[in-house]
Amino acid sequence: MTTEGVGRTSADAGVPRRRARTKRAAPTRSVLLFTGPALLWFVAFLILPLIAIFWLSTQSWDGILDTPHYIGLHNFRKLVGDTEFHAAVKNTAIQLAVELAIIIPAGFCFGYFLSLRRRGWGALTTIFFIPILISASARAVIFTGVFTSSGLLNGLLTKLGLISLTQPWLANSHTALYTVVAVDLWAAVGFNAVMTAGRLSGVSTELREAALIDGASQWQTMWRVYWPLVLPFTGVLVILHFLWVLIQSSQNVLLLTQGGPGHSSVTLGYLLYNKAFVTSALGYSQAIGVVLFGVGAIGVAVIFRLTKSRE
Amino acid sequence: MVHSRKILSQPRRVALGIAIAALVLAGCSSSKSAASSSTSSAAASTTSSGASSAAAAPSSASGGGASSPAAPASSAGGGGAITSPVTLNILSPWSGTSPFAKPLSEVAAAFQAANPNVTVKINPVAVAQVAPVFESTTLAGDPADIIITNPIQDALKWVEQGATVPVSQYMTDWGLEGDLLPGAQADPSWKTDDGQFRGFPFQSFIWPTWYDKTALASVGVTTAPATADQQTALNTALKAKGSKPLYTVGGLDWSGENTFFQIVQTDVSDPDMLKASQTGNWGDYPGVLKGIQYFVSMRDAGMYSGASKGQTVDQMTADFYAQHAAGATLVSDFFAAAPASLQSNVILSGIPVPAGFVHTKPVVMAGYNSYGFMISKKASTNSAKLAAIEAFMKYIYQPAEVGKFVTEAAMPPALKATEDAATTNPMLLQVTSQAWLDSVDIVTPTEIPANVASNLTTVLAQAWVPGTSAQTILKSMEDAYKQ
Repeated sequence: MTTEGVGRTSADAGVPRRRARTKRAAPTRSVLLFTGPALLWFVAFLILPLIAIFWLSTQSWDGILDTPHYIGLHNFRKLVGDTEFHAAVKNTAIQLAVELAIIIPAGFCFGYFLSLRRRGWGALTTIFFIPILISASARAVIFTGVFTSSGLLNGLLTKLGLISLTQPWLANSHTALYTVVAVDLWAAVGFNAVMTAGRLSGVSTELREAALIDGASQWQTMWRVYWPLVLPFTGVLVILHFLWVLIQSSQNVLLLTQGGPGHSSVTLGYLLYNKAFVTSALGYSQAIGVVLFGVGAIGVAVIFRLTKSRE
Repeated sequence: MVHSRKILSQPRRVALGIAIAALVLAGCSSSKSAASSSTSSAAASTTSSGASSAAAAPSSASGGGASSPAAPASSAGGGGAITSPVTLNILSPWSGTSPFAKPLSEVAAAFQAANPNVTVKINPVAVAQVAPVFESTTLAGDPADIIITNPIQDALKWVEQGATVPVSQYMTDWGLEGDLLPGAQADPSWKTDDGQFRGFPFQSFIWPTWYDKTALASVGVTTAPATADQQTALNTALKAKGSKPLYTVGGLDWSGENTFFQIVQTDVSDPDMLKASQTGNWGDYPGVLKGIQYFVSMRDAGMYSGASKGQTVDQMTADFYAQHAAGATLVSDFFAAAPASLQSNVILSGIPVPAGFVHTKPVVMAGYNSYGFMISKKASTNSAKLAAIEAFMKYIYQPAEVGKFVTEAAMPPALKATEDAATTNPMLLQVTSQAWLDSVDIVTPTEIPANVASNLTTVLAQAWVPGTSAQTILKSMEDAYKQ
C-alpha cells in the first residue's frame, strides 16, 4: 500500500460525503430552478389576489375610479341585514342540494351503463359529451327558446292539452331558479356519466361477472359492487360540481334570468358579479367573495373528509 | 453552498416565500397608492368648487401644469384651427341596429370631410357597457376623448372623480350654451354641485305609454284609457276576450323602474317627487304611498303580462312588437326602432290616473337627462384634441346635423334650432303636436343620487313580483338609500 494509496484512501473517506451532499443538493437546486417560475406565478396570480379579496372586503369602494376607504367589517355587517343576500344564500343552497342530489347518482347510473359497452355506447357517449362543447351563451339562447312564454316547452304543453301548466318559466318566481338548475343538469349529468364511465373502465369486468354469477342483479351490482369502488373518484366529481355550482353557474343566472323575478333566482355567484360589475359596489362584492371562498373551502373539506372516510 | 443550504431550513424557506410575496404585494400596493393619489388629486381639483372648475376651462388654462386642461387652439375657429393630424375617439352607446348609429356615422363622416386633419373613430358599445368601458380605459390611461352618455348612475361621478371635465366654460367660449332649450339648460342631472355642466346635452326624451290600436279595436276601444276606471274596463274587456294582457314591461331593469315611477307620480307633484327621489324620504310624501298602492292594484289586477316581472327591456319590446300585449310604457328612443307597421298603429298617451289624484290627465315623464357628450379629462389636457373636440361640438350642434338625428332616429332634441326639424315618424309627430301635449300631464324625471341608483333598480325589481305589498315596496325604496 503506497502513501498515495493511503492518501487516496484518506481522501476517499471525505469525497463520498461531499459527493453525497452534492447529489442531495443537485435535485433541490434543479427543483427550485424549475418550480421557481411556477411558484412565483402561483404567488403573484393566486395567493396575492386571494389576499386582495380579503383586503378589498374591508373597503368601501364604489367604482373603479373611486378611491377605496377602509371600513373594517362594515361590509360583512351589511351582508347580515341584506335581504338580497339572504335570498342568494337560500337559492344557492337549493341549487346545490338539487343539483348534487341528481347529478351524482344520475351520472353514476349513466356512466355504469356506458361502461357496459352495450350497442350504441359510443354514440351515446358522444351525445352525453355534446353539452360541454356548447358555449354558455349558445346554451342560454337555446334554453331561452325553450322556457320563454311562447317557447318550446309551453308549445309542447299546449299540444298535449296541458294549457293550464303553461307559464313564463323564466319569469315565474316559483320556476325561475329551477330553469337555471335544469340547464345546469342538462350539461352536467352527461359530463359526469362520461367521467364515471372512464373510471369504471379501469375496474375488472370479472367483478361484475362474479356478482352476476352469484345472483346479483345489474342494479345490485351497480350500487353494491361498483359504487363503493368508485366512491373516492365520485368524491372528486362532487367537489368539482360543488365548486362549479357555487362559483361558475352564475353565468346561467346572468344569461337566463338576471336573478329575477325580484330576487327569486339570485345566487351567491351572481350576486357577487352583480355587485361588482353592475352596481359598482366593489368592496361589498368582495365581502360576498370572502363568504363564497369560506363556503367553498369548508364544503370541499367536508366532502373530502366524507369521501376519504369511506375509502 | 452546503452551509447556506443548511441555514435555509424549511421555516426559513417559508419565510423567504412570504417575504417575496410581501415585496410583490408592496410593489402592487405602491403603484396602487400612486394611482389612488392621482385619482384623489384629480377629484380634489374638480370638487373644490368654482375656482378649480374654472381652471379646467380654456380661458384660465394658461398657467396649467402638465395635468391642467389645455386651451383650445381657437375659441372662434372650429375646424379651420386644426392644422396637424389628430384622432378623435368617441365612445358611443349607439351600436348595431340602433337608429342613432347611422346619423352619428353620417355626421362623423361629414365632419371629417370638412376637417381633413381630424380622424373620427367611433367605438360603439352596448348601452350598459359605456360606463365600464370608459372607467376601465380611464384607469388604463387611454380613455375616449368624447363619451356619449346620459347623466345617470356612474356618469354622475365622473367629473368629481376627475375622469371627465366640466364643460360650462367651453360651452360659453364656443358659443353653444345659447343653443340649448331652457329645460336642458336647467336640468339638474347635467350639473355638478357647483352648477357646472357635466357635458353637452344633446337629446331630450319623452316616455309615453303606447297602445296597440289593433288590440284596442279587438274589444271595441278606439282611444287610449285616460282614467283608472277606463283602464280597468279595458283590462277586463281584454281578459274577457282571453286574448292578451293589457301591458308588458321589463320588470328587471330600468324600463320597469321608470314605468313604476310614472305610476307613482300620478299622485305626487313634481317638486315633491324631486325632493323624495333626492333624499330617499319617500314616506314623507303621502302621495308616494298612494301612488305605490295604485301600482300594486294594477299589478294585482293582472294588467301586466306574466313574463313582465322577469324580463328586461329587450324582451319587453320584443313582446310588444310581436303584439303579445296591448300596451307598454316605452321611452322615445324606441320611436324609430319600432317596426314601421307598428309606428303608425300606435296611440300614445300616459299612465291613466285615478280620480282625486294630484294629476288629472294621463301622466307622461319627459326630460333632458338623456344622451349628450362628455369630455374626458385626458383629452382636455391635449390642445390638439381639444381643438378637434371644439370643432366637432360646433359641428354636431348645427341645426342641420341635429336634424339628421331627428329625421332618422326620431330624436326629440335638447336644442332650440331643431325643434321643428322635419320628421316623418308618426310617433314623434304625435308627441310634438299641441293637441297631444294638451291631453297629458308631463312630469319631470326623478333625481336619484348616483350611489343609490343601482340599489333602487334592484329593489324595485321585487315590486313587480305579486305579493309584494305597497308598504314593503316603500320601505325597500327608503332602505336603498341607506345601504
